[in-house]
Amino acid sequence: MKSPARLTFLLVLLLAGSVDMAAQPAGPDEDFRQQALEHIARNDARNFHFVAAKLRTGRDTALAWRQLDSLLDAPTGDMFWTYPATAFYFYCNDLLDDSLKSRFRQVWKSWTPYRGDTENHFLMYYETLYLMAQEWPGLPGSEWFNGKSSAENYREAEEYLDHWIDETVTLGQTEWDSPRYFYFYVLPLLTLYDHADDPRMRKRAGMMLEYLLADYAVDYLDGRYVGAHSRDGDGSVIDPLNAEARSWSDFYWEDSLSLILPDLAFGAMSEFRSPGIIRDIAHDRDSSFTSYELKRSRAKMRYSEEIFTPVYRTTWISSRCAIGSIQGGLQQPIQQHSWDITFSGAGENGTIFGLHPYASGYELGMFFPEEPELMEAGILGSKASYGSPDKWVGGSPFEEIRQHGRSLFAHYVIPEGTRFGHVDIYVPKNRAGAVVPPLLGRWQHHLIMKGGLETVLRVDRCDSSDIFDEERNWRLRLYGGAIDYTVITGIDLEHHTRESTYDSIATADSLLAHRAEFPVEYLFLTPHLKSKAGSGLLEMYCHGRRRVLDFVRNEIREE
Amino acid sequence: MRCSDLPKIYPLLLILLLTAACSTTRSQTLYTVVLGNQNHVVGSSTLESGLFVSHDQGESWEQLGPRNLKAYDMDAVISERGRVLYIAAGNGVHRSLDSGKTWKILTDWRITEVLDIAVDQENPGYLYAATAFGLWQSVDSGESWKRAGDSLGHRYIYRVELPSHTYPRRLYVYTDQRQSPSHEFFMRDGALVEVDADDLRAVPPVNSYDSCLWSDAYAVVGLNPGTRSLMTETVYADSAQVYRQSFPSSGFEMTCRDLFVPLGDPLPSPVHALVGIRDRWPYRLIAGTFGDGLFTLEKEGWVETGLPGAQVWSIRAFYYPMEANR
Repeated sequence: MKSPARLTFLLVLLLAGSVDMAAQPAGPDEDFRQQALEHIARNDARNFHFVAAKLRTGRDTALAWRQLDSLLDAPTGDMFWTYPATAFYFYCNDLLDDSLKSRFRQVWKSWTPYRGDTENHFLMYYETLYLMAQEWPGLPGSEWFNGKSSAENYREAEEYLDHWIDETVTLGQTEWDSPRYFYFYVLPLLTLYDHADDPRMRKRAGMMLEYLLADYAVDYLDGRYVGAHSRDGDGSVIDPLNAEARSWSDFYWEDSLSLILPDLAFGAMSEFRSPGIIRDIAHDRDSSFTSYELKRSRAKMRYSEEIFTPVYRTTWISSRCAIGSIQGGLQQPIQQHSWDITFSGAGENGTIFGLHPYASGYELGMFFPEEPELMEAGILGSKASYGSPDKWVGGSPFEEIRQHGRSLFAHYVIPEGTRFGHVDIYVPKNRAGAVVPPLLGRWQHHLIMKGGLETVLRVDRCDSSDIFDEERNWRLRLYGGAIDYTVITGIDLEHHTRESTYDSIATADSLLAHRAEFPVEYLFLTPHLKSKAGSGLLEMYCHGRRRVLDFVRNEIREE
Repeated sequence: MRCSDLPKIYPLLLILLLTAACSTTRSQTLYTVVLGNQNHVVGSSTLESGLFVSHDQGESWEQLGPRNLKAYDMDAVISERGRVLYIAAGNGVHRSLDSGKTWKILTDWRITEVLDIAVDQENPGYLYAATAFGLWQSVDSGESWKRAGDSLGHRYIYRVELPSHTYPRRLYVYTDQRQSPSHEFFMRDGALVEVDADDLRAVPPVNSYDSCLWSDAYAVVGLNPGTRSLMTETVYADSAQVYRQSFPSSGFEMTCRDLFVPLGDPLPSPVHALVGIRDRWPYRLIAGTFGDGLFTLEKEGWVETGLPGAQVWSIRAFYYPMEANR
């Protein structure tokens, strides 16, 4: 008989050793998942998600089968079509007869989807190729749209997926922290996690899901994905509660279905559960903290010595608000969101941010292969928002940002002849209190009230300014070849006088001095996440627990 | 007709005879590569993009290969089995061994945004792919690829050319849409060796008036196409206006505008590709616009000649023996 001491030792070993993800259930229960499916099944729009929900719940099945028939008749939308089609094929495989499976087979034989040009495109393209090559092994190239055999497709897709995982966990994502595009990563990884035959790929897909969810959780504030984003949407940038990413955070961390994305249909069918520690990281806001994340730019084709340039992402976060930024410059085309202050609590438009509305062939030529002048003419003609002086998303090569804790300094030098020579700052009305005094000259202060917290915007330099009263917000417009402003948020007036706080806020000089503080040797350095660049390890911490994603040994350890 | 008239019509007879001879032994094939349409966005339904072929001097066009392809350029070579076609595309290098009936993507995830492809006509196993992230070379007909041109690194490569008449074989590399190569290589034992920068312009570019070609010229064609002779006549497009080289008879104060005169009215959108074809004397000009398809120059001006709405990236003309034209 084993001694109690030896039993205790074994127990400790078991707790400290590798753990299986399935042993860490947390989050939605079966009823909740069924509820999600039934909710999604009520939608009659024609897509694979709704068809799957209808067939799984038995609602409007005749319509669902007709819609499936029609979807397979005319594939369109490249990888955006293949990833839900693949999810449908595998999650609903038991419902498909041979003739329907054969129709899927025909699509992959005859229809060439575009592989795309971003990180999410490639993931979707190769995830679907991997699973379909697994499903139909041994076929010659003549049976595939790209002329490659099943073995060639499987090998290439596996190579890419491994490359993407390894690169992401050692060097950082290029399409990072996107409230808009986050969901394009979740479903491909869920499908791999649930349906890859190779246990190694299943394990890695599950670990990547945890990795991306943890990345989101550390920047999560009451339903919002806070801080700077590689790519944001026109809607979500001014109303962070409405970002697509919220659909998954509600599902995994809030047991809520307040924003239902069609992809949730497959999330509800998946075996994957977000580990409890990630949910706790998303909610642990008892103390404020600063997190540092090292990311990479989107691949730069022109005007850069390096294909990927480093992105320094800093976020200060508390229970009531957060301020986050990157260093500025052009890191992503068109949809970059360089800094913001975001508030918790109910209400729309709970965010403040600024930008220089930059649009040019230079930016497009940096990230897209076509002629810069032709792209400029085309996109400025067809996508009004990109070339608009009033737009709310986008980076600028003339913007430089420095952040230290809850203070942020933004500096603009806008050359003459630049398309627009102003900087706009978005201030929501429902957060701003009653008064936003007009800028009368240099060193005027905007005091933006929110309950006991105060956010100060101090404009240090500009030639002139305007305030526009828009439907839901004020637009503070600063003009000049050189514009500087500082913002500080989270000032608690119960504990500090406004004057003492204001006097102590960082000046431009002191913020610039903090540039060297960024821990460039870490992909994540936060109280909850730690990952040394190049290590392939992500350590998660919360409430005395520790969970390690080890991508080198492909294992998860928990203590 | 008097005997004394005969010398006057000899040249005409000769042209007619040559034309007739050419039409029986050689066939002209035109290829147009279409990037997309004006409203293309990733994920949308992309219509009428990819490779198109015409066997009737551009009167009609047939699509070859994938219909949904973000395609930039193409090349072709005659092999023992017939015509081998290559497409440079966002998805990689595509190859057809059966004149376009079936296709295979030769490259993998490492190679993306392929903007141009060049086949060494004298050694068809050698391929060069210009990409937005560097130059790639295959010495086994595309079965495997390696990075080429060390000095290029991961630079944006817009175009590669392998002129047929150079010895040793030369490869011209264009790192932007300018009309002169930025790098030049010759081949030694299958590897690329860069020509010394001082010697970079040893072989003249498309014409002797290249300094007159405005930097925003997207398309230049030396007529007859495919040659680099100093005697070629040049047509080029400066955005939507096409110009033709003229030969002023006098004056030492010539400006570039004296050397190039407008051909017809401006087209509805920028011209990205030009080709001169030999179906009539001295040639017929086809312009590929970026957004309005193809136009040909007739007496009354530019006339639409197919692929409406297309964003034409390139047009290529090939002259093949009839037996290879299948």
